[in-house]
Amino acid sequence: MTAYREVVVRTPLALKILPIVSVATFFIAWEIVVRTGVVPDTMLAAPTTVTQLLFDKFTNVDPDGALLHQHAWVSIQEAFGGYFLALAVGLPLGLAMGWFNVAEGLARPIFEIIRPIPPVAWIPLTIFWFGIGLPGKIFIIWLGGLVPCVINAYVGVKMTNPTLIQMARTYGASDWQIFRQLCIPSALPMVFGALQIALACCWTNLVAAELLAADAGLGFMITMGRRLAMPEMVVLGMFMVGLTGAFIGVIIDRVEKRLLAGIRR
Amino acid sequence: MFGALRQNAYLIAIANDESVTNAVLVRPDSPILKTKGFNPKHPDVFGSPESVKGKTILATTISSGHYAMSLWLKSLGLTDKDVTIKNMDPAQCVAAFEKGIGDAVVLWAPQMYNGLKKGWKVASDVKTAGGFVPIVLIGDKEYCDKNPEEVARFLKVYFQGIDALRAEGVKLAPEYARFLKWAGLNMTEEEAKMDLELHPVFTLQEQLKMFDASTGESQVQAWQKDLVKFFTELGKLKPAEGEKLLTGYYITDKFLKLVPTVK
Repeated sequence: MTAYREVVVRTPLALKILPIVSVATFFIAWEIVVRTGVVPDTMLAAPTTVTQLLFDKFTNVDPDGALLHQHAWVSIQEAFGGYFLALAVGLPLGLAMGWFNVAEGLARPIFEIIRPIPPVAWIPLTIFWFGIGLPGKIFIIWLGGLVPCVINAYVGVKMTNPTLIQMARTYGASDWQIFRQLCIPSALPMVFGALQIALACCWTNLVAAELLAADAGLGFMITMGRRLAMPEMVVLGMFMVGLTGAFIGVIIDRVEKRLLAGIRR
Repeated sequence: MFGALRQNAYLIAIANDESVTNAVLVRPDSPILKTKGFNPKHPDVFGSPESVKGKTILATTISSGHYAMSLWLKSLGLTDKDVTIKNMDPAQCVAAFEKGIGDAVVLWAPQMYNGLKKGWKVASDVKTAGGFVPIVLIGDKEYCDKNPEEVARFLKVYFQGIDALRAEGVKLAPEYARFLKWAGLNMTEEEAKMDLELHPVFTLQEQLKMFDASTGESQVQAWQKDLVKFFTELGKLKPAEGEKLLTGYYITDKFLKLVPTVK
């Protein structure tokens, strides 16, 4: 006989179907609101119109000049370029600023000045520094992702248990050893939080980045939808940005759970 | 045109003529300037198929500037597919072209004036390439049909301004510059004067003639048809949408005709 019995928690059926009902209700209400003219279809496209365009864009490059998967692929390249660069620069910088006073003294004033500037404001300078190709777009997206990486990594280090730090010092650990073996592992949950937030920021900046000489991309598709007065294209672009971002977010979440298994928060 | 298609709007009047202020500009040392009048029908257009084909052009697509560029290319026997178009807003186009990016840039006023100040030369504009692109006044169809006299009164006041512009001309430059400054655009009096000179306006009588379709297609219908064909060929309008617009159903002079009757 076992010492304990495993309790199986069953989710009530009602709670299982509630999210489905919620989403379905949302889309049905949206369709009704547009079809009945409560909101003009020139301002908001009905879900069925957007769905029609979705399927059309698998095979038709008009009127925006590229297929849907081509737009998505261009955006993924740009967003991931800026995203990984933001992680590569922002996380080490934030971790170092959180522990080393010299790093904080040098980097923080400049960071605090740059932080509130919206990435789109950098477009004119970006043209001068990087031209109008992919590097310029990656720079705009990088700026968007950099801030949450630095902040989360910094706070993660600052939240390291001081008792553990004192204990490490008592045992003769150097600053570098404490940083590497105590602060960084301690900051990991916040760092993974930064991964999700930075991804959201990078995707948000996609539309701004693709104002810069783009001829493909999900942000470009939204801009074309605006110029062509096609709200269905705007909504489709927004939906694809959201869907792709959510999909990547799920992957990051799974990786985080794997890597942080066992770490209590 | 898009207003008619998507927003159910009427085209009720012409605001001004933008044909000279939508232009393709090149740097003063551009090889494009070495040939002028390649097409005898457009003797003031610079460029040749050899000097333009394969070039990179900075332009805002789906715009009057894009139309200016396509007319220029057509004049040289080329199409959009014969060049590389980099799509950007006008201010970005100026910044990029100044940095040395691109072989030609498409601008409209007032960015076009910035380009001219920087020494860039006009290779072609809508007028020299044989086109006409007006700014138009549009009205919501439902409102206009319900309130035709209100629309006519609005146009009456509008034409008072037009008449003043025609009577005073560039003498209004200081007032115009002051108005633009209030609206957030800094222009010198010289630039304001140039802007007034380059934007012809049309009186009520002139516009009634432009809209007159009693003997067949009106001038306004013909201009709009060119634009519809342009956007349909680019794939920005579906063929069915183009066919619908080509009927000119949205172009009307009924409100212009009411203007003399309202107070």
